[in-house]
Amino acid sequence: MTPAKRYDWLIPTVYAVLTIAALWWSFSDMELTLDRLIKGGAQLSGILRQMSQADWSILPKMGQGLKESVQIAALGTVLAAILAIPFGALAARNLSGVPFVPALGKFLLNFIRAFPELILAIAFIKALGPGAFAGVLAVGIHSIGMMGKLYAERIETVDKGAIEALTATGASPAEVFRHAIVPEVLPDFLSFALYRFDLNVRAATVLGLVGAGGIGTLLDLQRKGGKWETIGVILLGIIVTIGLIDHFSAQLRAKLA
Amino acid sequence: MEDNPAHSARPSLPPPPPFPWQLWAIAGVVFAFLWWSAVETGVNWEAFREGFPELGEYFGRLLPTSENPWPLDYLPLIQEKLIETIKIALGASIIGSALALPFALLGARNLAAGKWVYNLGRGFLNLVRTIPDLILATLLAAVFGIGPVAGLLALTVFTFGIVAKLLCDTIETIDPGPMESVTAAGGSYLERALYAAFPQVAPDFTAYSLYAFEVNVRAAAVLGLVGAGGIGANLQQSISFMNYSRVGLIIFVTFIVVLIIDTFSTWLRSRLV
Repeated sequence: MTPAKRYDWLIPTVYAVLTIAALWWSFSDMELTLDRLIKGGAQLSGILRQMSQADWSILPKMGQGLKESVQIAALGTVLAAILAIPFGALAARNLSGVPFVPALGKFLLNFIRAFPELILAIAFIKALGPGAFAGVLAVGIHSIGMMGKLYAERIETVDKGAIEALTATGASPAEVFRHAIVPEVLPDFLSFALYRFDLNVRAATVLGLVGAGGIGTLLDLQRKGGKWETIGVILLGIIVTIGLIDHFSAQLRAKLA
Repeated sequence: MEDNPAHSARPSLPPPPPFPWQLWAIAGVVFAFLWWSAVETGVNWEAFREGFPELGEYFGRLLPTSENPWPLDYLPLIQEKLIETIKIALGASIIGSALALPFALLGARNLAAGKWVYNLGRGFLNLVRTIPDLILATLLAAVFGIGPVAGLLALTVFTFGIVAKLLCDTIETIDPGPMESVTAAGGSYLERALYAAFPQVAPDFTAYSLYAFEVNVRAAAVLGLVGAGGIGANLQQSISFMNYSRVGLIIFVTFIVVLIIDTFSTWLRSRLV
């Protein structure tokens, strides 16, 4: 037996012990007792029974809410797709030519990403009043973080030849951006926006829980009333909508690639 | 005339590209949908012009000033709640990943007992991944009561969905050699998964679990907004009481903690794969 083989058991064991210790720590003062799980399970089975007696009369209102969620996601995505362009250009290492600018741009994007949609939504509702507009802004501003990062990474891999050729003719940085970079990156930028739209539809279904419009408003109302017969239908509607949008977005992105 | 060599040798310009009708039609439909959405949701220039200065003012108030400093005596409570947030994310990541491992090992295309097992498994995973985690959390909070248990369960489901999917995809690309060897040696379906597939994907599995943990920490920070435990409950309370300096402090500390965990986990992942 070689010495390396003799200690083969060591790494998996250390790994297992660490995992169990981490699990133990995370469950300390969680108040997750067996009793509570059994009670919850019993309640859950009652709720599932109620859900199975679906009340379809909610359908018109549900359609309205889902439509609003999709609209919020679409507008938020467009807002982010536009606002992310300057951030992406700033954060790209090959564009500005000034040393500290890309690092600053990346920090700004990370900073924006640190504010989740829901937090932004609550803050915007306080500042602008409840409704879909607060939701659009929350989705739009949060999405800048990820879109800007993807934009920057794409700009960094852009073909150098076109940039050099234009620079050699005496083009200004704005002209270089317009004629050498935009045509190359545009299909990918559209693809990023479509991907972000998928994520934003999910986010927009949740926004209503804090008063920022969409299907979440209806879901919250039904939940407070304990109307599980309609909640089941709403949940189904959310799953179908997200599933369909995911599917079509993936197909469109495959065409763009 | 047609046979003039000088004439035919002259390089000719390519024909102008046909007008991209299809592209413009799609753009038109998208634009019409956006216009209609903007009208229905009340998004317009007026709203932006009035809204943005107010937003700037709002965020300005979150920063500490000499007459309105951050309430540092609030830090112990933030610390306690942030630890709860991390515990929720960690517990959910471990249990969710542990559940995902056997599911992926037995459901991947090259290991599954039959095509129907594979299709059923993939369909189930797609279904699980369409449910937004916060929707699940708010419903589970109604079942299990307000508190971290609802958040833990919601994120466990989320972790299971994403880790199982990524792992399935990875298993489908592994080297078939070891699996054939196990089969040739008379190994069973289970032995193939355990001795041929698992060793090949163990580092990827760890990396996906770590990735899920990063996402979960971010998600757990907002679970409290729907009553599912963690720092989010304090944040919501501070926002609704318009306690700006407290809001600023919570967001700042949470940002730092998320950044540290992200950086550490990304570094760890880069060493794994």
